[in-house]
Amino acid sequence: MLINKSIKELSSLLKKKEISSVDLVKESFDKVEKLDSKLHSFITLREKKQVLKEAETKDKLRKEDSSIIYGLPFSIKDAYNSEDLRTTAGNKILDDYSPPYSATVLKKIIDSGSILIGKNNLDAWGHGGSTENTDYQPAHNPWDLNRIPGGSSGGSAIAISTRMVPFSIGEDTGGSIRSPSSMCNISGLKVTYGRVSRYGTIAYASSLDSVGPMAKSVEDLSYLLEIIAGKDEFDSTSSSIQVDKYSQFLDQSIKGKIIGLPKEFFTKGLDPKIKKTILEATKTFEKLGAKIKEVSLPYFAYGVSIYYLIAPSETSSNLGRYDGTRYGGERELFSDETKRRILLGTYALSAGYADKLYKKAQKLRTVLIQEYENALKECDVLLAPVSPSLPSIIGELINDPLKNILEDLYTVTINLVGAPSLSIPAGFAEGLPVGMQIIGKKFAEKELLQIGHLYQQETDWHKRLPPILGK
Amino acid sequence: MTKISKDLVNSLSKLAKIKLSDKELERYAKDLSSVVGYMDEIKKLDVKDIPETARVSDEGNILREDLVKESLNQSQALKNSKNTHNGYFLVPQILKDD
Repeated sequence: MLINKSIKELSSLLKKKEISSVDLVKESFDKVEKLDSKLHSFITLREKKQVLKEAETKDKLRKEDSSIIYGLPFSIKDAYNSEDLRTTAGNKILDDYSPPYSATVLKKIIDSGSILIGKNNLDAWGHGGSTENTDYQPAHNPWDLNRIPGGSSGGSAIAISTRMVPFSIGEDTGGSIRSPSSMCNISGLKVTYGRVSRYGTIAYASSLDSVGPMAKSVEDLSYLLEIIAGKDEFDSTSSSIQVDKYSQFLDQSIKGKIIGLPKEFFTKGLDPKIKKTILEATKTFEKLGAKIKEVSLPYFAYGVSIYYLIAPSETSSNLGRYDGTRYGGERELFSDETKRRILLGTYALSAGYADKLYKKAQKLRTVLIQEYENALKECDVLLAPVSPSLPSIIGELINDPLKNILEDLYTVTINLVGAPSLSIPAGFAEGLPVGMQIIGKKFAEKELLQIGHLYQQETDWHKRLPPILGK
Repeated sequence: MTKISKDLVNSLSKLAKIKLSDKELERYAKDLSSVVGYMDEIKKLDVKDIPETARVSDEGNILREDLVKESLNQSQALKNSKNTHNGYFLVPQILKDD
């Protein structure tokens, strides 16, 4: 299984001509053909013949100084515009939509020589944390087919977990990269707001949306971030702050770093088995020389209320453009969860309620920003679980809208604040993956990747493969 | 606890331009009531002197020269539309003939 190797190893083998891009692409398609009828991680696959032809060209044109991801197959969440390749956002409104241009992130990866295999399943428009709210069959967790893979970038996480592709690009508005990374046992990075261009992303909530890499390890993420981060003239919120050479700093010691445990994450809403797993992980960080300190975020508990006033407000506005005139179908085709969020946002913004709801949430967002800033003055990073529960049984959450959104408490506040957060495997409970997130100051991706990488040198959770792959 | 009535959902659906059946109106009234009811928790919080945050980017205003550059051509721009006429998008009529 070649795709089980790291990006660095694959690149080196390709350059030495010990393997070819054709081998990798064949392995990708074999895996998808064998497993995806059970998992539903892809909405659209590109034509195999065409992709193999691309791989042959890459094998011919590869040079010693080609990008580290040159000739590697990859996939992308179907929330990104891909030129002349169907882009659905998981909803039938865009069932036959063929974008006239590609998202910046996709363009950057393709320009670096990677080979797109297909577009991954998601909760329609990013609305959900389970990849059930899709018009293209609910996705299944490769660790237990009866359970959700997390979401909304569930398809990407499944494809990496089962080694269909070495990496994928997800999108995180309220946890959509971190939740499926945690539930499928892979590594995923929600970047600082503005670190990666959002141009060509199908917008969910524009002040919260962030574009990030998903892969098998933190080392792989660091190579990907170097390629996709940076200023883009087509996204005025993309940052001009210099992009680090993340991969060159991974082995730096974290001795003396202070890791904060925000106590509000560890209250009675947290599954005790997850709590135990995360506390166990702190011992590894201590072994690496870090110090653990308890910190507090008093308004954290209001996170769901604040987020679910702001994000639906923004989405009701963003999705206003889908009127079936220039492209796409009728608005009645919006899925159930999307209609609910549009209605909620319309309510929060409508005359008479806007001051009490939307504006109040914006003020509380300011409070959360201050609380995170204060906590991150006392320590270097925060460590927390990604989800309060193990992956639920498919269908359990979709019928209870309130329970469904409460599951997002551990991830949404970080989007409101705009901070980066790295989700990595921390262990298992009842045979199911448990993820933890390392949250940093804005633009502290280098530090998060260092800490995550050193943890992965001490542990092998991230190397474990789901039972569906067999022995 | 705040409740969302069926009538309110009806007027919200008109604002959002999504036609809903009677059954849907009922269901969304129930769903939104449970969510908005939960959000009552923020009512008690005093935020009087706190400024609002609309964006977390520190970039400020980004300006560029207003230059004519190559863009999508007409066929690319129109290729996804089901209703076009002489190189234009055809939109639903909004003014009534008298």
